[in-house]
Amino acid sequence: MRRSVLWILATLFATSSIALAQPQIELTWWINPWRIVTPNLAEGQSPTGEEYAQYMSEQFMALHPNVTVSYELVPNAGFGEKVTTAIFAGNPPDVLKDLDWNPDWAREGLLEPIDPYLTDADRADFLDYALAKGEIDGQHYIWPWNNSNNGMGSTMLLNTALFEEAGVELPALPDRSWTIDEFMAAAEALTMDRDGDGTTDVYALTFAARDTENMLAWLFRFGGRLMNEDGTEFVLNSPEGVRALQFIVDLIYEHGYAPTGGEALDVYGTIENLHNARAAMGYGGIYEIGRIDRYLNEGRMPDPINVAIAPFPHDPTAGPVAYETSGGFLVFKQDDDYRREMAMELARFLTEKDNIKLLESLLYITARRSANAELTFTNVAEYTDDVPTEVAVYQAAIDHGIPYFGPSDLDISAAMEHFTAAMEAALSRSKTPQHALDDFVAAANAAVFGR
Amino acid sequence: MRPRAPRRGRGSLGSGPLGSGPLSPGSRPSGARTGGWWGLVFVAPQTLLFIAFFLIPVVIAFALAFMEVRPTRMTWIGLENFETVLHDDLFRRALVNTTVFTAVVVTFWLAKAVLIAYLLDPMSHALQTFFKSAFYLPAVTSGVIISLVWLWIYHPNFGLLNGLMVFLGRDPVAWLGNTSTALPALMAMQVIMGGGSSIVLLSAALARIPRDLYEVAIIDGAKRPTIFAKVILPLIRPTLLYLVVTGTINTFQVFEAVYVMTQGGPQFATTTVVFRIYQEAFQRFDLGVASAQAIVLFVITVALAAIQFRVLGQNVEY
Repeated sequence: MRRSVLWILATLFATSSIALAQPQIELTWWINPWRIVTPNLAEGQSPTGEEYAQYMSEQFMALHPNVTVSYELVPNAGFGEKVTTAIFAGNPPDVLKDLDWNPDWAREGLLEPIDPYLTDADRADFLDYALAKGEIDGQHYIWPWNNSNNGMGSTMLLNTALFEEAGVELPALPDRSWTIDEFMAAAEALTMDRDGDGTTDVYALTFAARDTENMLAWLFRFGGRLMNEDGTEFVLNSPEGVRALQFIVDLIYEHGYAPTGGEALDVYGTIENLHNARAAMGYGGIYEIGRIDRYLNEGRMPDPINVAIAPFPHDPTAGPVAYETSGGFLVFKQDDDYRREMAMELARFLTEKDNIKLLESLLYITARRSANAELTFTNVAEYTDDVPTEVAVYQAAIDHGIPYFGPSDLDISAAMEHFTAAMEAALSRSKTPQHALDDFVAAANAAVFGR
Repeated sequence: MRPRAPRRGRGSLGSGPLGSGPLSPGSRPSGARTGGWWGLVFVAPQTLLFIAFFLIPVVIAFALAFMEVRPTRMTWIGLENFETVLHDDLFRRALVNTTVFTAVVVTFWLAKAVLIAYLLDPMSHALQTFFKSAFYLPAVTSGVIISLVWLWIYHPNFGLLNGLMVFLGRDPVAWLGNTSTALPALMAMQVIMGGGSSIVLLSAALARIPRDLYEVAIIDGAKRPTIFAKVILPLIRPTLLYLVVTGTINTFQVFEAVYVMTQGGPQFATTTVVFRIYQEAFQRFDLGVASAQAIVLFVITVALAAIQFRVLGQNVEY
């Protein structure tokens, strides 16, 4: 009896010692809304964007009872402003989704490098470019989470009913790759005047000057690039870049395959035209198929459409190109070793295999190879013929991914407003493609490199 | 020690709207002194808020304008930020855009308000109330909502305005995508939706004009345009001055519509000064240059207000 009591007392003492050794701390975590379906969400309930942050915080706190995670849902619009203000006020969150992040934060010593916490298994499992995105001066600062984006700049969505109506075959499987010539033949047939009144009822596709990713995707078709390989100069006014912009302008004004007015549109203009069947082709990947379901439920589009994914068409000499991008979580500088350890633990927890797979409900590919091998995306089956095929096509497309915006450690935000201006000028024909890109390159080099 | 006589100057008790009548020297009740302290107590919350959320940020902005501001350090760099601002082509462009925008919007806005107030003046009280409420409605609606509605009106493919153009047999226009129409489109929206509070103030100013003056003018043979130009306009000049000054200051700070509808495009045709400050501060994280731009804006608005006071600031008594 006495021995039992002693054991109990010893156990209690040991437990309380451990508890005392682990102080109560509070970690702040800021993330924009991600409409991820969490395991605790009721059947049929649509996520609002907050469930993920709440669920993951609770899960983490259950594992670490001495840690309180205070998550804050920061809207996409104004995310950068809020984070910047917090940084300048000396009060950034402990863990942050890397939306609108600036590589200078790492150089200023505001971020914790994650290298000491990355295991060999992590390094092998994370996609190379996802890990490389957060590499500044030889150290890594981002725990990779989502791979690619919503597919903008990487793949196109083809309205299968309109393809059928126009008598156009979808590009051939397994990867649906197609050449510019094949695309042009399809675009001609897909541009339809159904009632013969001289007005185009269905356009092949839409161009939008303020849709940066997709405009860059088109400008890269013939081998043009935004910057040189060293990331030391903007070179989009190369003959290949100018040829691509001329190609876009011709599609609108010479062939009439795309509507005029693109100079006033952003990416939502392209989405709207696809959803309203005013354009036979739009942009995006699996995530954008999910948007169809969401917009139908919200009454934002009239009728469902069935779509297939295809890569952007390629020029045989230049080869296929897609947008390589990823996102993840940053850990801000910590004064206390234990807080640093737990902030890193939270970021690791969010990005470990079982948790990263939650991205599947949002129709995102993840940054972990092991998780991607198990993704099925069954919840978009209603709007596409064969989900595994579309997933395979999408993954094949982003295998050709390249970073569109130059080196990840270079802040080119000052240049991109000039890019939009150049696209507006070209699409409204107030400047020739050569003139527009020359002006862009001059302004961008001056803004970013001071020359 | 002789007791201090109460200070009586312009604007002292008795001359303001809250005055209860003239006071003879030395007749001030002792309670008035304690009333002064109570007054301080009552204005203290507002004053503290003003100091905390306006005065201190303004002083800090002045200081930041002379510094290179990084998240971890601030370095004094003198006038370098102002040099950057003055050599920034886009800031100069923004200044021109903002000046044009302000000149056109304030002119048309005021003209609209004066005309509507003039037309409302002879109406019955009930009708006046109805119309004033109707015109004031946009003032209590979020600027973002108004911008989103107009974004749809100007939409190049589905827009209401282009529907009308097609109906009239004209080609659709990318109103917000064309450099020659984008700024006028924003100005038109601002003129159409704005002016509610101006109409209310001008109606009040018109109602205060003694009716005898109209009768005298009519007896002297003056026609309606003459009465408007020679009697009404001079007599509502103080209200006009107030509206011109506040309207100019507010319009010079236009941001919401630009942010929501054009993001400064196409080709910077609608980039305004405050939008540029926003870009510098929150897209490029350069608070030093943004503060310098804000000071330039501050100096310009103060100068404009001073000029307007000089030109229009004439006491009117009747």
